[in-house]
Amino acid sequence: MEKAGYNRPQKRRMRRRIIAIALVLISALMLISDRQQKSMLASGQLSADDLSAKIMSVIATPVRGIEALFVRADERSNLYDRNVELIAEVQRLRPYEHKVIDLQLRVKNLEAILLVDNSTDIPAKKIVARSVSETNGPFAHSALINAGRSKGIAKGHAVMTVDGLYGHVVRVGNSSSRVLLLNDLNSRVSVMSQRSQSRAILAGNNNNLPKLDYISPEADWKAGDIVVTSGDGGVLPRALPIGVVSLSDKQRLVVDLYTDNKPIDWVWVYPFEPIEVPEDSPPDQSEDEVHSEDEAQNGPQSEAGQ
Amino acid sequence: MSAQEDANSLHSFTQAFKGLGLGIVLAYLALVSFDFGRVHISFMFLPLAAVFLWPRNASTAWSLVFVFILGVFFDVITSGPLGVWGLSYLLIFILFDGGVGQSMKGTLAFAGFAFALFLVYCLSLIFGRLAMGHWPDGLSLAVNAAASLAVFPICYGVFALASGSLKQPSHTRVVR
Repeated sequence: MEKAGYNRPQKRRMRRRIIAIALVLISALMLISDRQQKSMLASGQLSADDLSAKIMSVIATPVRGIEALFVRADERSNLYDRNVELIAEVQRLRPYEHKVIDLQLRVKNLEAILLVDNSTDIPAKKIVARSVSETNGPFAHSALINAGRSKGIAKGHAVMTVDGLYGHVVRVGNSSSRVLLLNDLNSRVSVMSQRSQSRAILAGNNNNLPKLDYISPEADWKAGDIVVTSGDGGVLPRALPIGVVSLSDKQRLVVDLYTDNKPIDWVWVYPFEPIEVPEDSPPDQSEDEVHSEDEAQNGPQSEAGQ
Repeated sequence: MSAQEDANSLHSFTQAFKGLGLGIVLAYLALVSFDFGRVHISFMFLPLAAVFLWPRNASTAWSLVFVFILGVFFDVITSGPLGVWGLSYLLIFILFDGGVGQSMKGTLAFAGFAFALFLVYCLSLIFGRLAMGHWPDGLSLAVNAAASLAVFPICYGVFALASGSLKQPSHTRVVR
């Protein structure tokens, strides 16, 4: 008995060491598996997101209030100047309003004559949600919204604010969704210049100014261009506003996002159905198959001719 | 096992569980971010305060498991790479031979936390690099660390209150 009692602290120490080593190994395994994009806790992440959305919607309310207080105080200090600016802008835009209405009518008439549908594929239905938590951390730029599968949200749906595109849904729980923001390192969105229709890929780089990548040499991009989604690939609707092109310190084309610099509270999810890729059946192969079926039924053509 | 030992092990388990509970509360508070124009302030290193101030008389075996759970939980709710915080917190917990609890006071506790913060800052940079294949945003990490350090005294006060309310009875001998 005495001997067993003497060994107990040693056994306990050994047990602690084994637990510590095992946990360190499990953590290391998680790191490696995450790098290979094999999430070990996919279902756990969904449950944690659902729970976090509920808790954070309570915590976020006073936080958004404080943010709004600061923003409003800033706006109030510039109230007079802003008012003068806005009056000038309204006067400048008033003639264009009549032109736009006139153009809309003409386009509608032309569409009716030519029997074409030139409308954008932006869905009419929008799902309203609240951004309860935004992670602008060193590892990821994402947000948690308090609406999920139960409201019709699915992976890939575009998420908008009043200013422009915020990101797209990457994970959907029952009552919450995780949104990958445009400036996250993993974010890639096909975009175009509203002026020249030139295409590029908007690539997040974990800072406030995502860059424009994969620009062809003949593409016409310049600072000040308005960037919208191109709809290429059928993943996101066409013509969603994103931001304005500017030049970085290294003379690279970057995009100043419309949603940057603003506290995000309410968002709209666009339940856009991606365009499905047609089933792969190479025409040559299918023709060969048809021929071989014919031959099986009627015999080879040369033989039939004889 | 005697009744005294049973009471001790239950108590040390409760202490470890208390550390986890406070850690989860801090993890949710760490998710709160304030956006003032281009400045984003969040407190990503706040759960480290729970690891640093982990009760001294908590069961070590259970504490190791709970620190790991806290780290992974934080990885999940921040949607970052899995294992970065889990591994960092575990290594800090092992390095400090368990939390310091209320054994460090005032400036010493602040300096100790600043040192732990610096270590976790370095570890998260390295593990972030390993998990993502590129270096994480060091400046953003540093801002988060500074913000967490600034609110550490509040955490220390809350932990002191919490430990006072669940103080171990004087007659129990703690088995760690």
